[in-house]
Amino acid sequence: MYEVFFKKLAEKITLTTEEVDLFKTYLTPKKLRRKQYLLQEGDVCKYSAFVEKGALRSYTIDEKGNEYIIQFALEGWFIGDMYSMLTGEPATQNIDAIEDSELVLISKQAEEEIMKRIPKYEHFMRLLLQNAYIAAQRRFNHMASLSTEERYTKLLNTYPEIVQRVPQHMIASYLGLTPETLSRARKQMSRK
Amino acid sequence: MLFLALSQWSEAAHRRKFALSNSIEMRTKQTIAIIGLGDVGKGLATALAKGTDRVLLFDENAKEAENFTANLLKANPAYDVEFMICAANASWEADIIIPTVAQAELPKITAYIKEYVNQKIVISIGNTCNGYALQELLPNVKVVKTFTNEVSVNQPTKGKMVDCHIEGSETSIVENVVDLIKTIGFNPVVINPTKTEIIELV
Repeated sequence: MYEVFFKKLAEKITLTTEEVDLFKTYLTPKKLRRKQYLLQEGDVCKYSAFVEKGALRSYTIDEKGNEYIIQFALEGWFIGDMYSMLTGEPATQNIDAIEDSELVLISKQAEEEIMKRIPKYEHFMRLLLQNAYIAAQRRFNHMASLSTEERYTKLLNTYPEIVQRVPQHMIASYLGLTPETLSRARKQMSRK
Repeated sequence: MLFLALSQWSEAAHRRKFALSNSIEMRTKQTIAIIGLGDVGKGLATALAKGTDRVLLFDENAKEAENFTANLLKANPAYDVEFMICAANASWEADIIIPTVAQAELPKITAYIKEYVNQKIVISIGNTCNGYALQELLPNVKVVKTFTNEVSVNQPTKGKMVDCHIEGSETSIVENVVDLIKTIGFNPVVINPTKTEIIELV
C-alpha cells in the first residue's frame, strides 16, 4: 500500500523502521477508480496525493468547456492543487483518475506534524518543491519557445510512459494543441 | 425500524452547542462506505439515495447486500450505490466510513479495516457503535459521533425535523458530516466540547 511511496523517500532520505511506522500513522490510503475525481474546482485542496499505482491528471476548464491539462502523474509522482492547498482558497484545478489508481494522501496538517516529528522529511519536501518548480519553469519555456513537433518530441523523450498510457486527446491538450494538429505532427514525424 | 435514541449520551445535554453558520457544500463527490446492513445500515443507505455522494455497501451476508443494493437501484436508478464483497476494499475506496455493526462485532471488523481507514473520517451512529470504543480500536482515524435523542429517519415526526447531534474534534471534519446528516433528513446540531456558547442551528 505504501511501497512506492517509501521507495521514493529512500531515494533522498534514510528513515529508520520506527520512523517509517510513525510516518504511516499520518498517511491516508485511497483507491480511486478511472474517471473519479480526487478534487473538483471550487473545493479547497486538502491533500497532496502520491500515486502508488495508476495515473491521474490535473486540468482547468474554460467557460466553453474546453479542458487544459496542467499535469499528469504516474506511479511515484505527487499531484495536487498546490496554490489552493497553501492558501486555503478554492481550487481552480480539477484532478481525476485516468486509470484505476491507488494513492497515498497527505493532508496539510499531517505534513506539518510529520515535519515536526521527522525533520528529515522537510529536506525531502524542499527537494521535491525545487524539482516541481524547475519542471513548471521548463514546461512554461517549452510552451513559449518550441514548435509543435519539438514539444511532442520532448515529451516523448522525457516521459515515454505518459505518451504510451495516456489517450492522445489528453496529450494534445497538455501540449496546447488540438487533437488534429497533434495527429498531423505525429504523421509528419513518422515520415521523416 | 431505525431507532437511534441514546441514553448514554445524556451527558451531552450539559455540553454546549454551537452552530456552523453555513457549511460549505462539497463539489467533489465523496465516497461513503456503510459496513453492516442491519436496520441502521439499511436505513442509512436508503436515506443517502437523496444525496449526491457515492455509497458502498458491505455486509457479511454478500447475497443479502447484493439484493438490497439491486432494490435500491430499482427504486432509484440514478443512485451511485454499489455493493462490495470486501469491507477492506470498501474502506480503501471510501472517504467516510460508517460501521453499523453490533458492539460485539466491532473489534473484529475494525481489525480487518484498520489499515485502510487510517486518517479517514469514521462516523459512529447512536448506540449501534460506541464512539469512544471506536476511537480506541482505531486510534488514527477521525471519529465523529452522531446521535439523536428521538426517533428515526423512517418514522413520521409531524413535519418537524429531528435533531441529530454531531461531536468531533476538528471543525472541518464535522462540517463534512453536517452535510451528510442533512442529506439523510436530520437537523444537524454540532456539539463542541471546547466551546461554552450555545447557538442553535437555524
